[in-house]
Amino acid sequence: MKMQRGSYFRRIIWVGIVVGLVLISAGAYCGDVTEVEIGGITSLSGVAAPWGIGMNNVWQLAIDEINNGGKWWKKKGFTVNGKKYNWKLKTYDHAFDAGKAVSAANRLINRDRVKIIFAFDGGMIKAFQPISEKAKVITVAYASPGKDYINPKNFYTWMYGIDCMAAVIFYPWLEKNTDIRRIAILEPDHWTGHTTEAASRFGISKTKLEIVFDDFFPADMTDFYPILTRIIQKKPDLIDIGNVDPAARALIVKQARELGFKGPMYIITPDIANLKSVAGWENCEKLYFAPYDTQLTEGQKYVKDMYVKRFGEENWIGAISYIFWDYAFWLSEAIEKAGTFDTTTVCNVLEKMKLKSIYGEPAYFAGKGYYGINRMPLYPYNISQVQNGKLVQVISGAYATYLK
Amino acid sequence: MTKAAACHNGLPSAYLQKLNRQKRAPYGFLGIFFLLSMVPFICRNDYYVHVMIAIFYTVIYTSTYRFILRTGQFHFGAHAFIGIGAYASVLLVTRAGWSFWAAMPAAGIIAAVCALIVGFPILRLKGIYFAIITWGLGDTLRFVYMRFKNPFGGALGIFSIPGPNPITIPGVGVIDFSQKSHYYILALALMMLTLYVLYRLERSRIGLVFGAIREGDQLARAIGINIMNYKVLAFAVCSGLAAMGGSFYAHYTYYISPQDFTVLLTIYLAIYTVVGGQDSYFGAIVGTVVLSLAGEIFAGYSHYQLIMYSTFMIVVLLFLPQGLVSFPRYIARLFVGNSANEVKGKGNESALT
Amino acid sequence: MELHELVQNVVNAISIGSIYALLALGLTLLFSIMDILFFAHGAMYMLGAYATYYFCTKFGWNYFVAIPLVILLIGTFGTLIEKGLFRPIRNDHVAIIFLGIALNWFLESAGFIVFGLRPKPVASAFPGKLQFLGSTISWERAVVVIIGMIAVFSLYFFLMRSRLGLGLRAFAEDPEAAELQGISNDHVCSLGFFIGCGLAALAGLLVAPIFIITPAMGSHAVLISLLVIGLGGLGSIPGALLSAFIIGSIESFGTAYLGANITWGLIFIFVVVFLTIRPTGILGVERE
Repeated sequence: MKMQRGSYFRRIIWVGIVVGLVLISAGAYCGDVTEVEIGGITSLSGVAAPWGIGMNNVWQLAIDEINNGGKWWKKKGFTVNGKKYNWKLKTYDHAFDAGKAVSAANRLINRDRVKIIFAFDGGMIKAFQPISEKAKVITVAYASPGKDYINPKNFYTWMYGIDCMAAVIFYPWLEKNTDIRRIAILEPDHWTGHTTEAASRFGISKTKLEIVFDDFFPADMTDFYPILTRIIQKKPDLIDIGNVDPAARALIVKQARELGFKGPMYIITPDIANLKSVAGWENCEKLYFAPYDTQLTEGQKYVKDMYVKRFGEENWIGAISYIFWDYAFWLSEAIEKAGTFDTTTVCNVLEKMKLKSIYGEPAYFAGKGYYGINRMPLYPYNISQVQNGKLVQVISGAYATYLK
Repeated sequence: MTKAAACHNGLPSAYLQKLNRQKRAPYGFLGIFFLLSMVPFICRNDYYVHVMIAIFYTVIYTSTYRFILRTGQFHFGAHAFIGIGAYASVLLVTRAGWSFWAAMPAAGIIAAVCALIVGFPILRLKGIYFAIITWGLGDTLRFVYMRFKNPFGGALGIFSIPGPNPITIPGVGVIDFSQKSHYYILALALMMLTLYVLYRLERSRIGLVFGAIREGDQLARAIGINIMNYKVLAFAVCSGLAAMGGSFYAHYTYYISPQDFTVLLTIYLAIYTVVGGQDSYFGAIVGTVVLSLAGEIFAGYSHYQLIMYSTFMIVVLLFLPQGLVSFPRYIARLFVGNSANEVKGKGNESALT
Repeated sequence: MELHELVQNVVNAISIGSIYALLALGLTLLFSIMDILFFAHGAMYMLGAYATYYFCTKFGWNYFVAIPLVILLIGTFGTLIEKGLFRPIRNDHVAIIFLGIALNWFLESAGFIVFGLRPKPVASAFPGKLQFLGSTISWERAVVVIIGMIAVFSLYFFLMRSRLGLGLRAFAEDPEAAELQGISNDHVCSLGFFIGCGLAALAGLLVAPIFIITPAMGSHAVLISLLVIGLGGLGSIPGALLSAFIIGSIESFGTAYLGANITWGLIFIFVVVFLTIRPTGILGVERE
């Protein structure tokens, strides 16, 4: 009896707390700036949670930068027709479940009435794209680009693909400047893996390089001895493990070296700290990293410092973080320029805008030649290699121009 | 002796009452159907309609899952049959050019036949063995979907699945599935159908047999009931109904991939069932509704959402062995008095079997 | 096929098999004694790995000092879990499975919040690699093979030969009769959980340096262990060892000659077909 009464009291207290929170948040709305929500759909739980939460943190940083002003965004908030606006980020989890992704999109579009969604992973974007396109909501796809979701039919979908670009820059350079001829490709068996493999194949098809091995491994695999044994038997000159998840790729590097593979490997958006601690820096000799600068740009340094200060070194997910920074600024600028929140106008403005990218300038949208629509930002692209324990930039400021 | 037995004591009069109730049941189901079908026309926000749709198809999964649990089989492969339903119906529509209205029942029948085929050899297994084998079956299918790119789309799944074909209902007009409310009605109808079938199964002689099966196989067998046939029947019917839910899911989200039908799906169903109360017909429904809504509230805080789910489950398992549906009874007993002991005693008793 | 390739694949099979056997050992022990499936085994494995990380990498202690500490810590934690959560529903086997699933999930999610998102590495206490007949194996894997074998055999002999083991087996046979003989059920369960969770921690200690530590590692491990002990025959330690090596061999040779992605599908098909034909697994016995 007594216990029961206690729990009633507790429930009343809980209800009180909830009501209080609602009131407080309602009070927060009553400022002179209007808050506009940006939606996020990513994987906050499950195996890919580190990536998802990390990118959510960067989105939050970018939005706070716009709201409060800083080194990158000089004013506070953004102005449309003389009225001041702030962003507010609202992120939901999909845990790589299409049903949950669709639920999240419904929640964002129909309940929270967002006009912009940042989303992670191609499969999930494909799942909710019918809803977002119909509602004319701008979707920014942080995923390996595929022609099946970036095309003229999907006017409101934008992307920040780096893998495709990397392949068309990297492989022609490799053919010209090194005597590497035999390539082995190893990717995880999920969306990102498949599209990255397709991009690598596309890049290699422009050259005379030979693919001697090409396979996908189950995404939760941790022991790569058997598959690496097989790869090494094929005697490749280079192993392309482009977009393998950060944890797994460090294990692949370590285990490949244990099995006696001494050649170079190719990695997109490396998490250098992770590679150092798991694989050991001496094992990273001859690895190609893309995009990675021997020296971070001003913007990258700024973002990294801010991130580490706010979320801790523990939660820094490596070089991939930078790609989540730019779009919030581009979109705010496009909205200011368009003078409206109407997404069609904003898209048209954004497409022609000169961009300020964290990777350097100039940056602009391209991709019509390959995707049929300009939805891919091009920016100076650097690829570096570990030589004698030091990162050396081997390709500087390249543009993936024939994707134009 | 068991929880199930406690539900069925005082058999003859209770049984007659049940028969009586059964006659009125179709009207009850129809009434609920019409009542609920008003919702999208009162609340026009697509988001809430979507939440309801998600709850409806999950209720289809959960209540069929619960029924299989009730036959005494620890099912760990519900995702296999839901996946079969989704893939079969999508392939029939996109590859064979069938209408959705033919493909959905066909998907259910395909899944039921699959359940029949595997049911006879594996349903004689008990407990963990059955769990491992059904789970293995589900994951085998997942690998089949992933490996065979041609019909199944590989790891990337199948995109741009068409919605259901438009139909004309006399007096209502054309339903073309351009709006959420159309899907809502379809999902609701499907759920009520499933629930009605399960209700009939549960309240019929067969249902009593399942009670007997759960109590103890040997006993039921001794009376001369062929357990295997009943188990296979339940397994096939439930798998078929769940598969129809899967078919609806596929045509509602327009996208399926092997990733949607992993063991995690079954674990969710298990959690919904256990939290709601696996002994009660309404348990699965209550569990799904409560946890789905709670999940919506926690949607932005993923790890906390999972913590919430698991805490719910631990608390229910330890303190409310009959699930959330028994919560009002539990409270009532506390206030009437003397019965705290009874509840406790009952817990111990059920633990003995 | 050249000789050294064959040898390398055999070595891979042995190394994978030992890792799986070590992972499954605690699970199969709990099943053999108490007839329950302790799903949170995976979370215990994860906690063991994180304890190793904190002791060795963060605090900089010696690895060999950490070994007994971690095992004691996780074993005690397991005993507490048994006392607080599992004892009230000890005899309801289905409820225990659900409780294990919930606990595993709880610890995993809490792990993401407490330990952070970034995967953690543990520096190996056994650097370097071993080469013979043209094949290579790193020392840390060789150590897993050696200690894994020692753990399996000593556990087996502990159960079969020692007085304590006899008590455990008597409990497994018939708890009430054992109680009448003066074997306290409560003590047996506590001891069972202590050893089971300690073995999970041992797996975490040894296997963690080879791979990488994330809070999600436990669920993956417990599902693999479930497959291993299901194939081997629930509750049978030699069976688990045997099936770990069978699965390890399929994985190693399958990946090398058929492709990585098809291999796990083959393993599942193999297990399903085998269990359909012989439901008790390789060495399991019929249980009521």
